[in-house]
Amino acid sequence: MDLFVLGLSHRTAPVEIRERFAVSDDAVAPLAARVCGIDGCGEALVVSTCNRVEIYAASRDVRGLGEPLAALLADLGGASPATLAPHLYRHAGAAAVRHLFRVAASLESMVIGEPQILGQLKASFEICREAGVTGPALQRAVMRAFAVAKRVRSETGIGRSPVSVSSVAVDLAKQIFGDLGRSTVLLVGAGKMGELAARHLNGAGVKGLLVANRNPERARALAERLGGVPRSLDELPDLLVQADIVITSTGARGYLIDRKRLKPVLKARKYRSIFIIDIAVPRNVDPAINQLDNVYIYDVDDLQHIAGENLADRRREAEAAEALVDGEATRFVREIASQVATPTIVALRERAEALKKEELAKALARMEGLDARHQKTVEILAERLVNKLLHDVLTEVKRGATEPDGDALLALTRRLFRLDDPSN
Amino acid sequence: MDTLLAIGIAAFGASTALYLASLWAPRPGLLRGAHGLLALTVVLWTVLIGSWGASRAFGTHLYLGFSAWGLSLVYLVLSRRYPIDGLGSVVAALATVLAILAAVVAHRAPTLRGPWHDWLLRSHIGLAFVGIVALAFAAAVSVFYLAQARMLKRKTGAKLRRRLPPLDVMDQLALRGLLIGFPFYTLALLLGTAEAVRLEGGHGLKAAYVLAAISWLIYGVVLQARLTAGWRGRRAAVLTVAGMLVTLVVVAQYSLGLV
Repeated sequence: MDLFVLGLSHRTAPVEIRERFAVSDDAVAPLAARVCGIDGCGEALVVSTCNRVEIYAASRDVRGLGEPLAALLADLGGASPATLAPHLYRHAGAAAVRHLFRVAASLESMVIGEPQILGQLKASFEICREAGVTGPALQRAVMRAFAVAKRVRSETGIGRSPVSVSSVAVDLAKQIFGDLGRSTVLLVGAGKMGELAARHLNGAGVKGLLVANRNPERARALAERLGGVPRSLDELPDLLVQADIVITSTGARGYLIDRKRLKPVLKARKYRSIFIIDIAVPRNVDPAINQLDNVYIYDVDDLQHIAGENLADRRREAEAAEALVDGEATRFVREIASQVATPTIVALRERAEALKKEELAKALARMEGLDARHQKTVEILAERLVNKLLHDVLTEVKRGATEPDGDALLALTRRLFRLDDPSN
Repeated sequence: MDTLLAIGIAAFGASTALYLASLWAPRPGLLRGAHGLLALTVVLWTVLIGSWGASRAFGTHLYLGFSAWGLSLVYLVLSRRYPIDGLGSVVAALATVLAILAAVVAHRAPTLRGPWHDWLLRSHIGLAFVGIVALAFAAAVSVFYLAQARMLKRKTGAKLRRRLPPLDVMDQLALRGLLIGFPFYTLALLLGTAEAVRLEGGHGLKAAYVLAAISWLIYGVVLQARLTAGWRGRRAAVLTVAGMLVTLVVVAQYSLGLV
């Protein structure tokens, strides 16, 4: 069984096209069932995320799968195959395996190294497996893809560094406080980026979230959305004593927090570390307070700079991941091919063994009076002849089975040695 | 040099190299290897220290070896509970230095001037080294704290920062090291003073005694300030490291027989 994949992604299709062909979770199994209905197609898997729609199929002969699959996908989006064609990519055999491994390892993702794709792939596979449209070929390939993705994540730094401003803020907070379960976050203002950063920190399991705003209504509404406690901005000095992580995101002109105001706060905090994320432009916090002991302040440029560095870092790590994925894909294809060759090899050995036994029995029957030592010599001669004749053939079959025309070689071997002849 | 001692030093050195490599290229296998090698080194030093004890080869080298052994063991135990993998290199490097010092003094003339059966001297040295192991750990953690805090302030070293333990964890560990080490160190200095008075009748104030008192004062100030005034972070870390530097001068003076 060979693998075939046809799909479109953020690399080949704009969002208008991708959204048109997106497949909801409910529609995955029916579509996969339709794929299985294509002549010669035994197994199917449909993967649909916001950045890609892909149909994987396993078949004895994948050469004719491209057009019916493209027609199926075009039909799904209510477009003609000709409209869809420029946005499609297709891979067969080893290239399809390599593509699957790359997708699972997040090398094909828009943000390289993002972890969501693996979960999405697992969910799609589970739906198709439960629907009974996957078989041993796809299951083996997908399981190996999961293992490869795990190896890539643990052996390269592809997913180690955060690449969004909010996740950089969470990462920095962890470098200061470690376990965020003991940290309280204070969000000052109602800017969008501030809200996003607070949401990320909340998601990282902080102890509590305080939301301060000049407008009590806005504070209440925002606190409700984020699951925090609304507070008045007039309480800022007290709130700074309570909070460990402060996000400022107000439209105020002038500094809300400066050296003079923070010094008594630090004393009241008993000099516990404080991490201030100033996302506002113009800035809400005097950058000079970074000189105070146990105070760490990052503005939006600092966060963006780190995110940019991390992204470049991921790209560098992706090179190592590419090599790892290529090696794994080649190994997997070889394993599968050698498994395909096994029945032929076994049949050939059995055939040779049967012939040897038959001819030995005839020869020994003609050589009456042969003592045991000479009988043994004849048997060894037959054994060696068979082994020497088979050695080169079997080596070539094992090697050739992994080549693109491996099927033809196996068929020729079976024909030459009459391995499928029932009279043998 | 004794073969086992040479292997013990090499094992500490190799552990340091593995920990440094795991800082440079954070692969789980490297870190596991470093932890495993350090654990093996601890076992090796258990045998070595045991053999010294069995052959009654008591002396400063025994305490230096014990310090290297204890420091490594404490680190291995704590690393199971705290995210302090990044501290492995400094702990292993410190243990290597202590082990080399042990080797240097192992075959020198006995550096303990009093008879070994003297319980006062024995208790003084034993307590001092237990205290020093804990205080050295606090100082090592403080060095990393200062490095991490500096990188966070300057917004540099993003890769290395992520591989080091969080600031608060290091601050807490340094405090624990002080809390454990200081009482032992205090008792050791009291017994040492008593021993000095007994041997020398209280005449002559040697530089080592003064330095030991200064180091004790520094640790005392840090601990007092941390527990009562809420000192933490950079200032406490700087003083803890300063205290250890003075202590190391005292240890070196005794180890090399310069007192």
